Amino acid sequence: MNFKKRILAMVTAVLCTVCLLSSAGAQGASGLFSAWTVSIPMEEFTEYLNAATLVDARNMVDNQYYKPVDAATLDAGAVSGMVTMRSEIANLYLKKDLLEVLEEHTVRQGAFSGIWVTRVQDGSVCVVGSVEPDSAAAQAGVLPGDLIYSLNEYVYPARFINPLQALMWGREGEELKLILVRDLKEVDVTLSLRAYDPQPCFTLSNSGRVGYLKVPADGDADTVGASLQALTDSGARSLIVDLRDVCQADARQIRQTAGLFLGGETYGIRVDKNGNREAVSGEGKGTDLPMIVLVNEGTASGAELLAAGLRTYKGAKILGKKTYGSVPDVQWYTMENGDRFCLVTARYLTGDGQVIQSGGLHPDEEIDSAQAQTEAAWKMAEELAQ
Amino acid sequence: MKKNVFLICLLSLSLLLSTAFGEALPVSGQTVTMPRTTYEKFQEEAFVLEMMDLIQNEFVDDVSRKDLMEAATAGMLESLEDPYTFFYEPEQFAQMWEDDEGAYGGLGILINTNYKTDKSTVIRIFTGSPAEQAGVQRGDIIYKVEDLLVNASNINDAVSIMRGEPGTDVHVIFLRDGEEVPLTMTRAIVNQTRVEWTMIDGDIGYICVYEFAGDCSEKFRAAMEELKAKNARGYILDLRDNPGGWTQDAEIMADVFLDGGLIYTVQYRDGTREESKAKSGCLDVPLVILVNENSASSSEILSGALQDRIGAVIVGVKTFGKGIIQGVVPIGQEGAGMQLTVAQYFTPNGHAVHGIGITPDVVVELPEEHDGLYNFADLKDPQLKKAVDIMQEKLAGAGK
Repeated sequence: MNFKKRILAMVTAVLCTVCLLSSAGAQGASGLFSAWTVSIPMEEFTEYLNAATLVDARNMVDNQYYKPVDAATLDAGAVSGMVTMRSEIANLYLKKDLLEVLEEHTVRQGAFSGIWVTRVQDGSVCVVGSVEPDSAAAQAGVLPGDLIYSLNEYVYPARFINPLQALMWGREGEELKLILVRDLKEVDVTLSLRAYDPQPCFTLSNSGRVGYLKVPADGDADTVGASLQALTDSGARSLIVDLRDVCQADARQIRQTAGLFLGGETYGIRVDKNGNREAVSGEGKGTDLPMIVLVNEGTASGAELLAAGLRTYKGAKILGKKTYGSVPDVQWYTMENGDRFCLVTARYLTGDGQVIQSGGLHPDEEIDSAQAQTEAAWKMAEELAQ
Repeated sequence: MKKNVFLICLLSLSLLLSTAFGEALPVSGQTVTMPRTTYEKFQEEAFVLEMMDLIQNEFVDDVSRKDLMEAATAGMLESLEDPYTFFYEPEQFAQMWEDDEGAYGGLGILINTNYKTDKSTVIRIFTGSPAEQAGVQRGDIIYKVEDLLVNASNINDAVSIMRGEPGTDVHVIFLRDGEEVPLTMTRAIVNQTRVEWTMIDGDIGYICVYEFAGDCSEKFRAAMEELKAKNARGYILDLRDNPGGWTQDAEIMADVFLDGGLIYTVQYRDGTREESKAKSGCLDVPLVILVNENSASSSEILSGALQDRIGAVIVGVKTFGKGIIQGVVPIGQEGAGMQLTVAQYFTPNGHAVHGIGITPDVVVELPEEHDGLYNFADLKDPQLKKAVDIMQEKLAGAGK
């Protein structure tokens, strides 16, 4: 039977049943057909009717797609489609096979490629935020700003920033095949992961008065804490807190990091779907050093809250570019087939109640180039240290 | 953007429901009675609907049921991992038909999207269009349309933005030789030319088919008439960079040269085969066909059929290799649609095309300095030059 005929047959079959049924119904004898009829509440029927687009699509795929299809795959696809609707980039759907790979790849565990990942507003893929000095990536010539088009032949859209960062870590000697895009040209890079030797993320100015602290992309509180302590001990009288491209800090990290700078101050207010508010504050003793904060379009999430908190409670001046503007609180769900997904179930306001979502945090002084940002920060911090 | 499409006029399930059930379904009190088979179809969506409830309740932003339904359908089709199977939102579906009509408010460019490099390149600029006036060039890469950074997955959105009310402005940033070229253009009514033709090198009729859409087969017949009237002794059919379109158009064009017999065979999932046969014409003339790596689907049906059946000489480079056929159907009640891969096809001699392509009889590559570009009926274009030389040899042979 050819394609068009098959469709026609299907349509005719349904029509016949409907005709039979309606005549039966009119005669009040539908009970006669109860073996092959079903009665459902009107509400349920309406719900299905509203799902006609979906019903039709599945029907077409079931009957006509050129290869056999598995219903569970379609279900998972539908859920993935809903979760990753364009409106919210922090919603994520992870398939079981990727989750299995991720079990062996965790940030700050094992060997490292040297690439810290970030993303920019409207970017469809992730970007190299910074490259660890002397790492495999540095040696292979990977540069900050390179677009990460694919890793091991998989394309990871911008919303996969955290999984992608995790995949930058793994077994020593493990190979990564990256396709980067630089000045619109493809750059193929193959590198093998090396034992990670954490580099100090701080420096002291020649004058000995200004401490510069580069917060790692994942906001790692231990690293930040150790650096802050070292700078305080060496007699720094002002601080540059560099939050550029810090975008992967999870709730626990940011709570600790906020505590290091802000003590117990409220650095964020969690607002859920129903408008319920809950203040979150740091854990730690805080610092009294005057500060200059550096941000850019890659500064996101907890780092945005931290920057705002430093301005509100510590009078810090913020330099750089408008931040990313995404401060979600996500909740994870596991599907029966082993896939997992997360939904944004609440968002944060800054400690003093400002909205950052969508608009981003505006710096006190807008400076475009990274180098000019750094230079201005050093100059101002020296003045603060006087 | 157009794929090898095979139109199915199908009453969708929802259409059945709304017309049949709306009036005649037995409703008693607050319950509805329906066939068990229909109910089972509904039940297949129970899980998705449950998850839809969860997302609506838990996700911090309010999302409409309609948006979720569309996202679910799009995701379901995406899970098949077939780039040619996808969902059309109601607006896009309407635009697809508009596109086929060939007249719309827009910029007047034809785009080729490469899924591997994630880039969309301008491959044609229509005469008198806003794009031509603004100086858009073939080979320009579409980098940004208004605020949208263009990639392979959002090219349909980019096209939607470029379309619109004539007289209004669009800002597009193109990339040319790695440099950004920002242009502001005013949308105008664009009439797409699907077929262009002329006599070249004396007595050769040259026909360029850009796309199998809209009025292309009528234009093709008109071209053949006119060139015949001008005493064309042989024809060169240029299908380079033709991405395909409706299979019916390829059939009509093949029919001009074939007297009955097979054009191509379609094979469905269950192995059943359907043969598409020529009916009417039988123009016995020397024929050379130009193809390249962007000649796809309907272009491959046509060139494959004429190569196998009447020994048309294929000149150029191996074609794209899209040997699968899609159906386009409306779904649901909101005006949405979908495109679905329904079958694969084979040339009359039984060759598969998918992932393989049509192999030219005479391989001629376009030298690198051309950057993949050539002008209409330009004898300095080495591929066309070769086609003309072959045709002249044939004509000389026939004249003896």
